[in-house]
Amino acid sequence: MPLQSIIESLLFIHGEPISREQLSRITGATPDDVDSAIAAIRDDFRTRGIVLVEKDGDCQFGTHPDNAAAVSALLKSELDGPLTRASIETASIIAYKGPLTRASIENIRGVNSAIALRNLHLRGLIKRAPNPEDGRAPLYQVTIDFLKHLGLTRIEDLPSYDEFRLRAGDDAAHPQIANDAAVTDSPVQTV
Amino acid sequence: MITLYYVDFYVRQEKFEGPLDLLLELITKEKLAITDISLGSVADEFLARVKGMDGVSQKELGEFLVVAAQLLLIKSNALLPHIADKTPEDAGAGDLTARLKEYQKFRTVTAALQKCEAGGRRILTRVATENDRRAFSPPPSCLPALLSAALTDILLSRPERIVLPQGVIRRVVSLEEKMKHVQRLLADSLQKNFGDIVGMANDKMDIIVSFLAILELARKCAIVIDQDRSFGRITMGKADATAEAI
Repeated sequence: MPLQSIIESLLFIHGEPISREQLSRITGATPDDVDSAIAAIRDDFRTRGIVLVEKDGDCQFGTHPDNAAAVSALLKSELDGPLTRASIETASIIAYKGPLTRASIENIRGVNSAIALRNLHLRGLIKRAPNPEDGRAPLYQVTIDFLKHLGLTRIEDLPSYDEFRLRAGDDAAHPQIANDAAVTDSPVQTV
Repeated sequence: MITLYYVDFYVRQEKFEGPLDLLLELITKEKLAITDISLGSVADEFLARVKGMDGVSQKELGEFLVVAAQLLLIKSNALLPHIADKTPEDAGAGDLTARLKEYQKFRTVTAALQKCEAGGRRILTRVATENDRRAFSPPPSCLPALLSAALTDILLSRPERIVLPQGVIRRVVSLEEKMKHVQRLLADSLQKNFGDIVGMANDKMDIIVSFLAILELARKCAIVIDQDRSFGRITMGKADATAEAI
């Protein structure tokens, strides 16, 4: 079977986010081949009931955001309630400027953000990563669940994301943007 | 999927998320651009709002006060440019303009994301995954005795509750207060003895302070102390008007 088909099967059965390294290891394909197979999956599934959600090299199959009502009716699960403005504000700073420390977040908001961070963390929308510069101040970043919560398949789908990143001057930290630029005109994500 | 039932304890009476939020609201209301001049012009209203805040914790209030101080600095620099403060705090004032501009961008984005969330177009992922198959597979060594021993260990290692001694802070009577009090008493009557003055004392500390107050008043010649014979009653009286200026 072609690599793309194998990866689709793996994503389907695994359910949870799976890293490109893991896919490369399991399939024995080179990272480049995995990348192009994933790009093909992203394209092929654009108009289907399944979407490919990606964050920091991790991939996961999810339901199409337009079908959220029907899917949650089947699961009979109450979706988590909406986030408070403080939480969304905090999450947006982390999404656009992350990874960054709590001090940097609070400098932008001008207010203590411990509670908002705790709530976001409890809901699995952000995660901590070790800070190579200061072990006592972990770096915060948004998770793949944060994207799913908003119905986005990739972080670049956030409103004006590229503009923010370019102004911040750290687009080099996300070379993926350049690679994927050709396929960002996704009709799926017109939020 | 695990549904987290969490309680949002973030109760606030103000509709502002913080000082920058309030500042932005004031400037937007006046349809002003974010500049040092516009910040200076809303300083008074900012202070008035902070003054009117009720039920805000001291920590939160502190955040507002830091910004209030920066606003006052900006305003004073605008009013008195020739003696404008050029110390590093001045950089902090310029910083407030930049910070507010950045905060404004995030507030715009926050509104967009809230709309995004309200759209309810969530992506859901598989509920039962391969990784969710769970089984109870204890190792052979896991016998009731081992579990019981482990539980005993846990119970024994529970930290003991430490009861910290508690004290009540007592009201402090200042020497100055006491001196005024003694002078008032002596102003009403011609003469009093020590017992009259300490008679109304509540405790030992009060007596000591009264005694010190009397000594200090005598030193300043504000009162006159007299004892007609050894071990006799000590009487105190108001000093001459000339010596009364304390």
